[in-house]
Amino acid sequence: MNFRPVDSLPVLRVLALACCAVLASAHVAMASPQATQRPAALDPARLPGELSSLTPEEVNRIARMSPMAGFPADPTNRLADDERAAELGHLLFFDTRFSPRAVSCATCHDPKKHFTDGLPLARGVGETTRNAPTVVDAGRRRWVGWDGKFDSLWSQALAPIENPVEMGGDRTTFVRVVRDDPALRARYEAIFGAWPAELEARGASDPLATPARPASNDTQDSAATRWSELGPATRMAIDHATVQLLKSLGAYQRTLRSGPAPIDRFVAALRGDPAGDPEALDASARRGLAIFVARGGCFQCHRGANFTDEEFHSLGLVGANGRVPDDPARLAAVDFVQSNPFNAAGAFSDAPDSPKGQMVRSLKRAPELFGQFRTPPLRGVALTPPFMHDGRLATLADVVRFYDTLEGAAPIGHHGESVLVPLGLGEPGRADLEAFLRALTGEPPDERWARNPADPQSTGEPQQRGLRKDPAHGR
Amino acid sequence: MTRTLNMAALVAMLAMGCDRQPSAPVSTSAPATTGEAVAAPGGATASVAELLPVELTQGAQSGVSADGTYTVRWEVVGGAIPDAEPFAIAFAVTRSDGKAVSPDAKVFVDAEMPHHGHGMNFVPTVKRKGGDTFVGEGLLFHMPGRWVLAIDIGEDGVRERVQWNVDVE
Repeated sequence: MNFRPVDSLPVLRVLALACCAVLASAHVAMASPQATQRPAALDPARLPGELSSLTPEEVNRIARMSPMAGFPADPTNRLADDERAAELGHLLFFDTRFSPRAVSCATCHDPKKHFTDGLPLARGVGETTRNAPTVVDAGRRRWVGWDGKFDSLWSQALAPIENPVEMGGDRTTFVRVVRDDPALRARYEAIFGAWPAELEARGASDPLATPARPASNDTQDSAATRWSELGPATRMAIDHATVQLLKSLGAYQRTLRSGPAPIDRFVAALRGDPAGDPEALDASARRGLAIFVARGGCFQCHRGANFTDEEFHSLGLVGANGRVPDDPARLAAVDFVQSNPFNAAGAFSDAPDSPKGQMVRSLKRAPELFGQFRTPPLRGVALTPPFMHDGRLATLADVVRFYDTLEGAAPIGHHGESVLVPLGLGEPGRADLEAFLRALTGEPPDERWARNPADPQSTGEPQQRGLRKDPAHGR
Repeated sequence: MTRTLNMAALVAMLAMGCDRQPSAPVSTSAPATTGEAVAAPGGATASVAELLPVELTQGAQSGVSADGTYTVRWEVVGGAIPDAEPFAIAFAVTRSDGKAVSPDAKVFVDAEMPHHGHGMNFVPTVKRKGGDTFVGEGLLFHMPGRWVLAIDIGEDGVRERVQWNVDVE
C-alpha cells in the first residue's frame, strides 16, 4: 500500500491500515478454492504384497480414490436438493407423453441397465450418434454429455426432449402435459405456486395447443415456425415453466447416487479403519490397482474418488473415415454451452455469477479441443457396456485391450509425450486391470428413486399416478 | 460486528483515496479482453476489498521477467493446487525501477503443459488489488505433470513474461 504521511490525521491513518489488514485477509480467505481437502494418508505397513513396490506418490494416488465426497452443490438450481422437486422430476423422467413416439428419459436411461440402454448408440425416435451415459452419480459431473455440451443436469434435460432423434418432442407439449394432468399440475403448483396465467387458456387461444420449439440446425419444421409465431411474453412464460420442470428433472437425477464400492472398503482398510476390508480387492484386482496408479498411467485422467478429471481428452479414436477423429466434440460444445440461454451464466440460472457461471464464461476455445470427449468416471463402469462415446467397444475387456494396444487410434499430437502409449500389459495384466475396474462397482441407488413410479410392482412413495392418455398424441 | 467493519471500511477507503500516488503513464496496450486485469484501484465501482493489497506468505514463489523489468511473487490461494478443481493465485508485481505498475497495465495469467501440447481449458480472470497485487482466478490444472505458469505484464506497449515450472502430482 502506498500511503503518504498524513500528519494531521495520524489516528485515522493507523485505523485505516488496521482495517486494510483485516479486510484483506478476509477477502483472500473467501477466494480460496473448493475441495482442497486432502484425504488421509495410507499406512504403508498395511500395503499388501501386490502394492509393496509402489512409490509414495503412487500410494498417495490410491489414497485419493476414497472416500467419495458428497455431491457438489448446484447453485444454478435452487431446487437441486428439494425432495418435492425430485418427486416431480421422478414422474417426469418416466413419463412417455412428452414424445410423439412414447419415448421417455428412461427409454435410454433404463434403471434395469444402470440407467443406460445397453446399446452402442442411444436409440429413441431414431438412432443418435452417441452412447447413452448412465445417470447414476450424474450430479457429480462438472459437464454433462460426452462433449460436455451442458453445464448442469437441468439444462441438459431439454435437449433429448426436443431432439428429433431422441424424444422428438417440444417444450410446449412438455408444459401442456403437466398443465393438463391434475396430479402433475398439483405437484408443480405446490412447489412453484399458481400455474402461470399466460399458459392457462384453452381452445383456440391455447398457446400450448400446437407443438412449438425454437429453431435449431436440426429442427427447421412446423414446430419452429409455430414458436416464432408466439409472442415474446408467451415464449418467455413457456420457457419459464419449462425451466421449472427441467430443474425438477435435475433434482430427481441428483437422487441417483451409488454407494460405497469394494475399493472404498479396501482403502479404508489401508487406513486402518476397522470398517475396512483388506480382502475387498482380490489379488488380481490389487495387481490391477498397481497398474492403474503406476505403469498404466490411468490415474492421469481418471483421477481422484470419481475416477475422472471432469475435463476432456482425445484418444484419437478414428471416425467413419477410418483415419482420423472426425467429431468436433468439445470444440463445438464450447460454443454451444456458452450460447445456450439455459446455461449456468444465463437468465434462467439461479446463480449466474456463481463459480459455475464464471467457469462457463471463461471457457477457452482452442483447436486442440477438436475430437475431445469428457473423461468418463469409472465408478460403476462394469455396469454400463458398451463403451466409448459411440459405444464402439463392447466389453470392459475390449476397453482394456484398446489401451494396451491402441489399435484403432490415430496418432495424435495431444498427449503425445507419454500419456497415451500402448501399455503392453499382455493378457495377465489386462485381466488384472479389468478386475480392478470391476471393483469400482458401488451399491446401487436408493430403490425409491430407481424404480419406475408407474410400475405396477412399485409401492409406497412416490405416489402412483395413472399415466393418462394424451389426446394430442392419440394414445 | 458488521456495522463496525463497515465503518472501518469507510475509514480505510477515505484514507486510501487521499493517499494515492500520481498515476503512472497510460499504456497503449490492447483493448480489454477476458483474462486481463480489471478495475484499477480507486475505480468508482471498486469494492473496498478490491482496493486492498493481497498479502503473500514467505512461501511465495518468485521470478523475474526476461528483460528484468518485473519481479513477481505468487502463491496459490488456499495453499495447495487442488486436484483437477478450480483454484486462484495471488501475486505481487514489483518494478525494478521502483515505480508503481501503471493502473492501465494489462496483466494476464495462463498455463500450459508444453510436453502435452495443450493448456488449460479456461481463461483465468485477473483482478487487480491494491499495492500492485493481483488475484488470478479460474485456473484449473486438469492433469498431473509439468505445467508452465506464465504471468504477463504489459505496460507502454511492451509485454514481459515471468514463468515457472509447476509440477503437479
